[in-house]
Parts: sequence; structure tokens; C-alpha cells
Amino acid sequence: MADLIVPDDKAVWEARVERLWAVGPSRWEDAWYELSRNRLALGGLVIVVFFTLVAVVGPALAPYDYAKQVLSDNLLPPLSPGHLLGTDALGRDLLSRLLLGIRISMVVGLGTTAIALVIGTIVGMLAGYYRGWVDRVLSGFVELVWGFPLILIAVLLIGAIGPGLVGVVIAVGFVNWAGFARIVRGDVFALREKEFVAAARALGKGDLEIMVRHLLPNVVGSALVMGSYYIAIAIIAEAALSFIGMGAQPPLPSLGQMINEGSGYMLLNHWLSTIPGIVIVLLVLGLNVLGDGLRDVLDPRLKGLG
Amino acid sequence: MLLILTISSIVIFYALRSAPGGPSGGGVINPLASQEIRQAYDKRLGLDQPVYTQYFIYLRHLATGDLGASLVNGTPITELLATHARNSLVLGVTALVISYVIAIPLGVLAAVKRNTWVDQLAMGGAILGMGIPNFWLALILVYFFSLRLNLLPSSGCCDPPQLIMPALVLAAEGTAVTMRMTRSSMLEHLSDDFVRALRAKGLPEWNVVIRHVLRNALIPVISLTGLRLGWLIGYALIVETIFRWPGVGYLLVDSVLRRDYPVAQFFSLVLILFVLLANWLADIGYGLANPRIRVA
Amino acid sequence: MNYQVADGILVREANMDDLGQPVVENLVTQYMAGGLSRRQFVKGALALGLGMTAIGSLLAACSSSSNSGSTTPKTGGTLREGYDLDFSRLDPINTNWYDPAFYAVYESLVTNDAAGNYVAQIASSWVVAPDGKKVTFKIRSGLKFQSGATLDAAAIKAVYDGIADPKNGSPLGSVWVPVASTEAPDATTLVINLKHPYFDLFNIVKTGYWDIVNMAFRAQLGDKYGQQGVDGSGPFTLTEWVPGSHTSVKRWDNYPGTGSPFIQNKGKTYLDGIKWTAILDAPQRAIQIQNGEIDTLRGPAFQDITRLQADKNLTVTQLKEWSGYFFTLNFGRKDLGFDDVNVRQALSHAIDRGGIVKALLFSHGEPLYGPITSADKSYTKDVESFNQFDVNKSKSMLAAAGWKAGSDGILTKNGVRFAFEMIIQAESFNQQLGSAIQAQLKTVGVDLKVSALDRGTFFNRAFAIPDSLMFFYLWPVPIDVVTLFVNSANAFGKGPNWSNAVIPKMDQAIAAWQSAANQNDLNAAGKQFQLAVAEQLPFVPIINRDAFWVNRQNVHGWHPDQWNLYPYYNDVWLG
Repeated sequence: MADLIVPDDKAVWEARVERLWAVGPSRWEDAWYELSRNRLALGGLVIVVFFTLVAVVGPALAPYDYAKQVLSDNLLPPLSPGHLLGTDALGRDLLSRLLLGIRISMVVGLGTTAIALVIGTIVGMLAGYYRGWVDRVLSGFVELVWGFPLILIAVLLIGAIGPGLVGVVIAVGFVNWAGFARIVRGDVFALREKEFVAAARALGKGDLEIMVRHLLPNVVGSALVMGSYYIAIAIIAEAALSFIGMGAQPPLPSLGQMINEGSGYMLLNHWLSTIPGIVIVLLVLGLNVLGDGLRDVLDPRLKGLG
Repeated sequence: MLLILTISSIVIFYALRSAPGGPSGGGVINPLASQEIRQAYDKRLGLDQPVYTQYFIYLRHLATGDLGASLVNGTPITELLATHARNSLVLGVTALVISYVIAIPLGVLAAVKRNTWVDQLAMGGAILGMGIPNFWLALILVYFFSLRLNLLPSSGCCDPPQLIMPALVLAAEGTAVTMRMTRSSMLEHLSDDFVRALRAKGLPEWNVVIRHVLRNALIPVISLTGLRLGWLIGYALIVETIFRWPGVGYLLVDSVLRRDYPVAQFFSLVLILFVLLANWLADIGYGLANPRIRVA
Repeated sequence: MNYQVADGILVREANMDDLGQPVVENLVTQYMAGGLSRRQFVKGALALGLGMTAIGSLLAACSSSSNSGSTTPKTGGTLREGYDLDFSRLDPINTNWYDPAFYAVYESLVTNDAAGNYVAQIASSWVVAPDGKKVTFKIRSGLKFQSGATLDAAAIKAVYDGIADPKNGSPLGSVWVPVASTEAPDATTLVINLKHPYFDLFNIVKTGYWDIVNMAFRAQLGDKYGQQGVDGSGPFTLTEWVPGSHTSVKRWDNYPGTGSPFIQNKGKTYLDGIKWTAILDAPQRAIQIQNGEIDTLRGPAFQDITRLQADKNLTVTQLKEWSGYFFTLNFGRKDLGFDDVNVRQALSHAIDRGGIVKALLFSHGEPLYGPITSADKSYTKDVESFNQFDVNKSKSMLAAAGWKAGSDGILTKNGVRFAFEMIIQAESFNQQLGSAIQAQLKTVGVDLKVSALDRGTFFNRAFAIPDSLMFFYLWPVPIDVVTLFVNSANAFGKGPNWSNAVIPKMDQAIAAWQSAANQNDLNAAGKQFQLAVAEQLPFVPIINRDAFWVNRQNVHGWHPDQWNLYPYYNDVWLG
């Protein structure tokens, strides 16, 4: 079978990696400087930081217990007394649920990406460094996982261990690592031919040391960019799974779950779905734009490339 | 690729049969019936045997060309394949066409009118298109077009009006990405040397743009079609479920939930096969477009 | 025996206080909508004790405002009907509920008219022996199944014997226990011999579970029966059955005609066919009928009712529904005290049924303190003294059982936390209901986890006896189906007694119900049964929802009523 090709412009990646290495130890300061000049990316950063803060402290500041139902106060519109964002069909305060929902979405997003990142980096590193049959086997495996429809995995897994966020995290992380593996492998492929690797080997350094101390720091950049996108993908995937009933179980509010619960009341109180929907859009936008910014910073030649 | 399919089929087979629940709960047998009746049903289906035995029996059937039939209502899988694959293709191709028809002209326009309000608007729209979760977009569209305006049907298949909203939702993300890609690719090529030469020769701008630049700019875009198709499959599952469009994705989710083993197994493989094909096409297309990219 | 048989109409002794007003209103509604002929209306009204003067003025009022019956029915067209549940398999013996298609492809021995009287269908008349232990039905002659096979008394006997035969796996065998034997001495006579007088017999045989199916054909198809073909005697034949999506039927051209007097179309149906769509997403139902994607609908989402009622293109009919939501408590969880009736009652007192009805049903329904709804003629108000919402009582009863609140507010006893899991079928209303119960139990210190499962997993777990499951029944005579869930004979995997509840008082009440000899006995047994359920709580009843039916103005002759789960389609035509 044809070798795996990174879907983005490979020559461009190579150039970026070279630049990284060429810039030297102050490259991170340079990168930060460039990032701060990109207003859009900065906006994205602000959004992401804001939601992270909300996720961390928000639920503690919530005016009500997110699960507290006051059946007689249900379906109140936003700006009702005592309920800034109104209440849902069971009389639960929307703001309190939203705050927790943001935390859940962020945690799931970060959690799955962390899993995917670790697994993907290890696999990609091994494949790119050793090449040969190790690469063939691992790449085949990557391609296998790359093809699995997420929903299928999710349904099977959740069918086996029961519905809930644990299943979602495992399922989404399990599928998404392939993307990281492909990128990391591509990077390592190119880096491996550089002189510094040969030099390190001549000095008698072991494979593991080379991989960890020399190659790893250089793939971190691309991993960061990918990570940003993948957190967004994970958040949407969790929301989608919750929307079809496979994610967070009652009374836990995930943003997707809230949209689902509100979908039947669009004419009575569309805010039940609209507000969590807007939150997801903002969060995902922030992450995407930040990712774009990071990528631009790491190689201006990539600027604007979709 | 065959290896991948074989491994996939084994994994899926095991996963399905090991997961709790079985077709006896899926609506075929009376769920109020006693344990004995349900066990008798399982026995008739051969579900009480060890999984690897079941797998070999399955392989034997496949070898004779017997794909099996749905456990739920007996429809042969070949028939299901014909109808559902056709429906999925119709939806997918429509979405793809929509996204290209909108994205490419917009991308060109945005590139040509770079940094004007046209460009900002287009880029803003693209960012939005990439950020909106498709199920929320579906909800909003149904709210406006079905609920308030009574213009479009809210679900079902297979008349053209029923195709409009699912195709739009499915096309949304792809349109945004394709548009950005077109724009940046155009930008890259608009500053090429040969373009300046053409301009110097006195060719009208639109001629330069459309007939010369676009052709080169579209190469990376088109080469991504394969990958786009692959992504579409994943998203299509959700869209089909929301709009009850009976495509392969919808059938897959439904059959897994009902533990309709033959259908679930077969169509997961179909889906995987399709994604593999799409990836392979993407690799080829990309290699063709950029020979210097072909990696050892 | 207090039956009156006249012209094939069995008029039961309906006391005025059993149903009172609603029956008369129903009669009027049905007459005005064309579901009853003038003669039937008079008969029904007479049976209810109305005098001729009253009847006369009612008739006069009706005819001035009625507008149907004046236009001639048109033949042709396919009715598109929306249904709020998934489709059952079209096999009466093996199905767990029956859906509207049953009313199109099958018929039963007797049925109900719009006033609740038993009327002829396959049987043209019947006689009950003086000792009440034998019922002789006269079967109409010349009847056939859709395949062409003869439908005679022997064919009917085959069906009833089949239900009783445990090999066929019908879970309804336990309600057929009072029947000693079924005989078919000749082609048009069917005799049912009872072990003791069983007044409830007519309630049973009128349901879809006792629809007459061609048993030979069924045996031939085996597991595939109901999937690819059915053989009944109703006016339509099955063309397509796709659970989760739709069911389609088309007109049976050789239909010999109905035996039921209240059906006005005595021959083939006007409709070419019917297509039911399962619309499992609740808010979609109202959207589809307003859009004209469907012509008729059962069960729109409750928050859409007001909007539908205001829509001038639609007619909304509201009826009581013979259904109920309940949840089980696994008697095996002795550590939580589920085998102790006081603990069960304590949990029940924590449930705010009234609040749920107002919030989730927009008041279109009622709390269930016992197993059946107040619209049922056997309903006894005495059940309302049980299971009332009383948080303090709940807390004190739990404290009396030795439970003390821990630091997190959850009750503990002997190191055991009062935590358990309830499984529900994944569907939006179930989830809301589950959430509400979860929150209400939390207020008394109980930690309930609610797991929404897909259908396949749900029923498999149900038989593995979970801590608790939530369920919904739908049956025109609810006491009969409830006995299935609480009969100790159905525990431990033998049937749907998913609590494994063994309660002597329950079994006694069931025995009394099954041996009732006349209406009075039946009423008394019904009361006994309800009180036993309300007090002993083999399951905990929650709420009952009203049934809503919606049709577009171009649909005629479509009349859902209180007594039949679904409307008959013989008279339906599209204008």
C-alpha cells in the first residue's frame, strides 16, 4: 500500500521544522511576539482562557444547585427574577447548568485530547524513527483506526460499558490519536535526517534519549497546533453524542445534552437550546482561531492555508 | 487494505456479540416473554455458541455469497445495501456539490477582493461554518423552515424537498474549509511570476484570474476531495439520524442499537471500506498534484 | 347473569356513577362525528338511563351542528398517520403491545363501540350459560383470512389454544388461566368453557392480543411471521413493516365486510392504503402534522398541544389513556429494604406526582396513586389515601427503618448507602420523568442513578432484575396487564414481574379478579386489586398521560374513542 502521506503540504511542514530548529532557543519568545500581533488569534486566546476560567471556578459560583428542580418554576424565560438565564422544563436554573456544562465540555475536550496526544505521539515517534517494518505495522494500525467511524466505536463501547462520559472520553480519544500519530510521524521522518541526530548518535546517545530530548521538543509545536483543533473536535463530538443520548446522563448537563433537552421547546423558550449552542460555537471558534494563530506563528508560509 | 478489512471485521464481530444485549431485546421477540423463550430464540440464531464458532459460520455464509438478512424484519442485506447506499450517496454527493458550488466562487472572490469587506464577510462566514455544531444548525434550520415557515419537511426521505436541509447541514463545514482553502491557494498563486507576465501582456483581469490562476489554485483543493468524502461519512451519520434520512449511517446506528448483528456487521465494514477508499484516493490525488511530495 | 343481548349489541350494566357524564358526552361526540348511527345512539343513551325526551332533545341539538354524514365518501388515497411509539411485530401472540396496524389487518371476536358496549365483530352474537361457566359464540359464516383460508370456529380455537400453549411464548397465558377449554363443535359455533365465572373474558378477547390470526400460516413462517407477511381477517393486508421507520398496508379487495354495527362502511375500505410513520422524536410530531407531512397523529408532545389546538387546519381530540408509568423496586435488595413495604411506601411518598403532571404534562394527565386511571370504570377513589406527596412522612418512615443521613446528605445504615440505579428506555419523556424522580428522591436522602438504555440493552437488563426500572404500559383494560407485572407466578424470569415481587395480598386480589362472576364482583375485585397495589406497592405507580389525537380537516370517518386503543379504518376517507 502507498505510504502514508500527511494530508497537508509536506514540503511546507519540512520547511517549518527547519525554521524551528534554525531559529534557536529564543524561538518561543519570537513565537509569542508574533502571536500577539495577530489580533484574531489573540481573540481566540482570550476566549479560550475565559472559558477555562469559567470551567474552573464557574460551578462554584453558580447561584443554584444545577440539579435542583422546582417544578412549579419551569420554563421561565431569561431575565426572570432569580434566574438570569431562565429555567428549563424541570425548573432547573439554566445559568447554573451552563456553568457546569462548560466545565464538563472542557474537561472532556482536554481529556480526550490528552489521551490522543500521548498515544499518538508515542506511535508516531516510533514509526517515524525506526521506519522499516515497525513503521509499516504501526502505520497500518494508524490507518485502520483513522478509518473507524467515531459513532460506531462510541456506540459499541458505550453499549459495552454503559452510557456516560467515561465511554465518550475513551471512544473519542481512541479514535482521534491517529491524527496525532500521522503528524508526529511526518515530523520525525524529516527530522531524523538532520545532522544533529546523526551527531547525537555518533556521540553514542541511545535511541530513547534522542527521541525524548531532541525530537520530542521539536514536535511539540505541531502537536500544540493539532491539539487546539482536536480539543474543538472532541467538544463537538461529545456534544453530538450527548445529543443522541449517549453522553452525559441525567442530571449531568453537558452542552450537547442541554441542546437536546431544549430542542422540544423551541417555540416556548428557544433560549434553552440557543444559549448552550452559542457557547459551543464561541468555544469552538476560539479554539480554531487560536490554532490558526499558532500555526501561522510557527510558519508564516502556512498563513491562510485553509 | 484487505488485511485491514479482515481485522476490522473480526474486531467488529467480537465487539458486537460481546456487548450486552442481543436481538432478543431488539423488538423481534416479545420483551415480556419469559427467560426460556428468549433463550430458545438465541439458540435458534446460534447465539449461544462461542463467538469464534459464530465467526466461522459467518465466514462460511459469506463464502457462498450469502450476506444474510436483517434479524429484525427479514429484509435481505443486498436489498438494504441498494436502497441505503443510494440514499447516502445522494445525500453525500449533493452536499459535496453544494459545498463546491458555494465555496469556490466565494473563495476566488475573497482572494481577489482581499481585505475588503467582501473578504471579511466571507472569512467570517467560514469561521462560523466551521464552528457551528451540525446538530445545532439542523435544529435552527428546522425551527425556521419547518416550524415557523412551514416551507420544508422536517424529516424523512426521499423527495427533493426532504433532501434540502440535510444536505445543507452536511455541506456546512466542508463549505467553510473549502472556501478558506480556495482563498489561500488563490492568494498564493496570484503573486506568481507568470501571472505578472500575463498581466503585462494585457490580458483582462478576469481572464487571468479564472482561466489561469484558478486552474493552478484548484489543484490542492480538488486533491482534498477524497479526504473530504471521508469526513463527510463521519458527519453524515449524525445528519442522517437527526433527519431520519435512511442512509448507511442511519442504518448502522439503528442496527447496532437493536443488535441486528448481520446488518450492523456488514454496514460497519461498508463504512470503513468507504473511508479507506476515500483516504487512498486522497493520497493518490495528492501525489498526482504534487509529484515532489511523493515520499519514499 | 346481567347481560342484555339485542341486535348483537351487548349492553353492560353501566351504573350512572361508574362513568357518569363522560359516557354521555362520548356518545354525543361519536354520534356527531359519525361514529354511531342514530339507532345506536338511542340504544346507548337508553342503556345509560336517559329518558326519551332527553334523547330527543339531544338528537335535535346534534343534527343542527353536525356536518358529517352529509358528504359522500370518496374512494382512494393513502392515509399517512404519525405514531408516537415504535411498531410492534404484527404477531398478536408474540407482541408486547399492539399498534394501529393491528386495527387494519386483524379483527377479534368482539370489540367495543364508542360507548363502551361489546359489539359483534367476528362473532355475531353470544349467549352466556346461566351458571356463567360457558359462553357460546355464534361465528359469522363465509369468513376468510387474507390468504384465502377459511376463518371458522376451528381457526379461532387454534388461536386461543395457541395462546394458552406455553411453547408459543405468549406472556399473556396467565390471564387465560380461568379458561378450561375452547371447543368448536361446528364451523359457526365457538364454545369457551370456564373453570369459574369469568366476567372479564370479554375484556380480554376484544384486545389486539386475541386478534384472530391464521395459525397454520403463522406456524409455517415461524420467526418470520409478522416480518414478511401476516394473515388476518381485517380490511387491509400488510405490505411493509420496518420497525423504527414505518408500516404500510393496502386494501384487501376481498374483504367480506365488517360485522360491527357501529362501522358504517359495510364493505371494502375507501382508503387504498395506510402508512404509519414512527415519529419517536416528540417535538417532530406536531411539526409534521402542521406541515401536512402526515394526515393524522397520535400523541404530540405535550408542550405543543396548545399550539395544535389553535391551528384551524387541525382537529384535536383529547381522551383519557389506559396507560401508566411506574417503576419497580427489586425485592432482592434487602440491604436497602425494598422487601419492606414501609420502605417502598416511604419512597413513594417522596414523589410529587401532581407537580410532575403540571410541569411535564402541562396538566394533561393525572397522578397515579394506584395502578389504573380514574377514567376506568373500576377505579376506586380509595387508592388516593395512599402514596400522597409528603416529604416529612417519607423522611420519618425512612428514619423509622433505621436510615440516618450521612455527611453528604445521603442516607446510610450499617455502612450501606441508600443508592441504587434505575434503568429507563432512552427517550426524551422518560428521561425527564427519570430526572424528576431522581431529584425528588434526593430531597429525602436517596441517591438514585438513572441510566437511559437503548431498547435492546434495556430489556436484557430488565430480565437480569435491576435495582429498579421504569416502564409504561398501554392496554385497554389496564388491570389485566398490571396483573402480569405483579403476579408472583411471573417472577424470577418467568414473566415480566421485574420486581420479583411476591405478595400474598396481590395474588389473592388477582385470584378474585379472575373469578369474578358478574359486573358487581368484577368491580369489587377491581377495588381489592387496586388497593392491594396502592398499599403493597409491587411497583410504584407514577402518572398517567392523556391521549391526544390530531387530524387534518381533509380526513373523515377517523374516530379515536375511549374504548379502543386505536381507531378503526373502515370508515376513513380522504376529502
